[in-house]
Amino acid sequence: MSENLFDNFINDKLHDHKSHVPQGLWDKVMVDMEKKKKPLPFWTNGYFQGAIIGIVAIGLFSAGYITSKNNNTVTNNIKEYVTSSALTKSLVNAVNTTKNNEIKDNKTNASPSKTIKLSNEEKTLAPTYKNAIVKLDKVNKPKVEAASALVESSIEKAVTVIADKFIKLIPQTNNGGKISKENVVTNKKNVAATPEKIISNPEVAETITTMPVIVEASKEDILNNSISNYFVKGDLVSTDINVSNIGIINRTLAANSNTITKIHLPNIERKGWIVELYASPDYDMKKVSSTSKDAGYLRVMDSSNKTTGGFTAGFRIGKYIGNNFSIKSGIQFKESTERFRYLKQTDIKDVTILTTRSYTDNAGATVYIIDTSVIQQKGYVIRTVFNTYKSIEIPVIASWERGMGNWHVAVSGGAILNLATYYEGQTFDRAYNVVPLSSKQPNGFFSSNASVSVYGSLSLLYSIKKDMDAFAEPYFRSTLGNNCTSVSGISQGFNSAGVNFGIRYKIPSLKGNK
Amino acid sequence: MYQLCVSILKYLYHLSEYELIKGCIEHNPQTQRMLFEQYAGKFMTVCLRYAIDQMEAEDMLQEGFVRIFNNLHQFKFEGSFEGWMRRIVVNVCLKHLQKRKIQFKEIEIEGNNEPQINQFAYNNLGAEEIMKLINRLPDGYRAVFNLSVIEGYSHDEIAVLLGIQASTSRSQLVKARRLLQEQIIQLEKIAV
Repeated sequence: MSENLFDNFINDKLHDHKSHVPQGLWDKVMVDMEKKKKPLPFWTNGYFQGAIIGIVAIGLFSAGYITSKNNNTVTNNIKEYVTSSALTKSLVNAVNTTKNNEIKDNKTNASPSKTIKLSNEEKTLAPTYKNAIVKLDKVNKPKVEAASALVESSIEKAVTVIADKFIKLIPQTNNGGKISKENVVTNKKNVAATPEKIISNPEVAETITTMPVIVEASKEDILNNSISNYFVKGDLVSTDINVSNIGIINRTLAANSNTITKIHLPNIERKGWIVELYASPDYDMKKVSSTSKDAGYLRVMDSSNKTTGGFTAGFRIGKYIGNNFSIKSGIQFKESTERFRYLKQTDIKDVTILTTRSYTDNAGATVYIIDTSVIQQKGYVIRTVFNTYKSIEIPVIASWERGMGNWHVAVSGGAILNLATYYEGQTFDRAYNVVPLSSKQPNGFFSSNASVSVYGSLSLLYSIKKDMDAFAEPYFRSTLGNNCTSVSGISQGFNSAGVNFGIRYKIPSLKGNK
Repeated sequence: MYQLCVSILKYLYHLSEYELIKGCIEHNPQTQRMLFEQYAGKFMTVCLRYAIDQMEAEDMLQEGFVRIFNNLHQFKFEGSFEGWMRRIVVNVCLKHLQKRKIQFKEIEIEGNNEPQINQFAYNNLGAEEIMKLINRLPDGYRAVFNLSVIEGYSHDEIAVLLGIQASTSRSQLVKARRLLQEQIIQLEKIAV
């Protein structure tokens, strides 16, 4: 017999040969697997996830708070305009207070954040204008047009030059556009050529002190409070400024105030009653432990059940207490689904196997030997059942909210009280038999009375109308305690994460919203 | 015959290999048990061929299945699933061999000619008897013979697995084969 034939013979005999497996080896494998079970990645830990959400919430809140401390309510898309009946003494002081001769210009130059040096000539220009009234206003069409008309009828070049030089503020033309760069350059040249004439010319000075000028300040100037450099004690500021399309807001500075310390653009006021409608896809994470010291049963229960998601929908009514703090409560419906898979034995068959072999004895006779063996074959089928858990809950939540124009951020925390839970499906009993799971049965697996979950969220709100906000609210909630009865032999709770998408209405009929 | 029965069962009860693997990945104990029962016998044979005794074979099989279950999610559904599991079990066996620090000894075999075995002797040989004969081989011979003849590894692969030269693997295989054939002849003489 050749090597190949010999090798093939051995291979055929042994490759698929089955040896006896001792009883109890499977149990050893299971025990060993438990010991060597790979720990879950740290990011799947509920506490870690909660901590991350908390850190992000605190970070965003802090950022919002710091920004709001800078009197920030201006949105990215809104330009703040300063309207002046003249260039004021504040311009003078602005120049004087910036003795180091640097003003940041983020707006009117091609290169951002360009620093402009003031020349001596510019400094001497400034003291010309006194007793001016400064009016700070958000741009709106009628005012722009009115102001522009005056610009057109005035000595455009002087105003243009001064505005351009000192605070990088650009006058408007009567056609609604800014004065072109060429004009500014031209005027600059004119002024540079004859600065003394402008200063000494009473007609020019008079015109400047009486002419309304629309000047543009960059958002950064306002946010950084550097615009206050343009105003000093004694300047008057208008009371109402329309900074966005959601309503008139009040200035902190009164019309006759003579104590301007800084330009304050307060938070958009939020007060009164609100109602929120929301819905969320949920990702549920089950947390299971054994109360019966039966590790095998716990393992079977844990491995045969897997949460497959759910949703929450509900409404909340809230009341603002102060501008930023609110308390909300309502009612919500939560449904969670759990997949339960088990192996069901469907058939047992005894199969008789006859193996025939033969050999030739010394006398040349062929001897046939028939071996008989019986094997038992078991048939299984995998059954999948989806268990559902439906809960009616009352959220009680406190929120702290800060905002920037149309955008607001809120950090919320509270409790969710479970009023009732209805469940239906199948599960294993302690003897590993599949039994129905129903809240209608007496002595059920899960308690259907009240339980409590802690709730934390971070909301992002956007004002889509005067009385309506849209919001997205990522949240995390965790059940306190156990929602199983003593019948089940295990302790089970849920952590859930999701994002509430919803609409918030201000309730107009209630007094608080006026 | 057995494979046929298993195939019929799978068809009747819709237990595809995919479902079996998926259930094990999801740590379904029933499915894991089913996989164990389906393959434990075959893999026990593998382990017995490498082990010193039954106890070590059981340890190997136990460790092999733990590795299979823990790494099942890495199976890409490419190639034979049984082959994938078998490689894991063989690697576990080799790990045990490395712990034993086996020596690849050169044994003098009398005569250069290949032993002539009566064709009928093969007919008398059952798997259990062959197993016993293989287990009588020295550790080094046995490992190379198992890997080459039964598992189908090349000499280069065996060299890497056992940390030896490919030429050593070749010579060990030749001598293992000769030794085994001589043992079969001896067995035949006893039987006659």
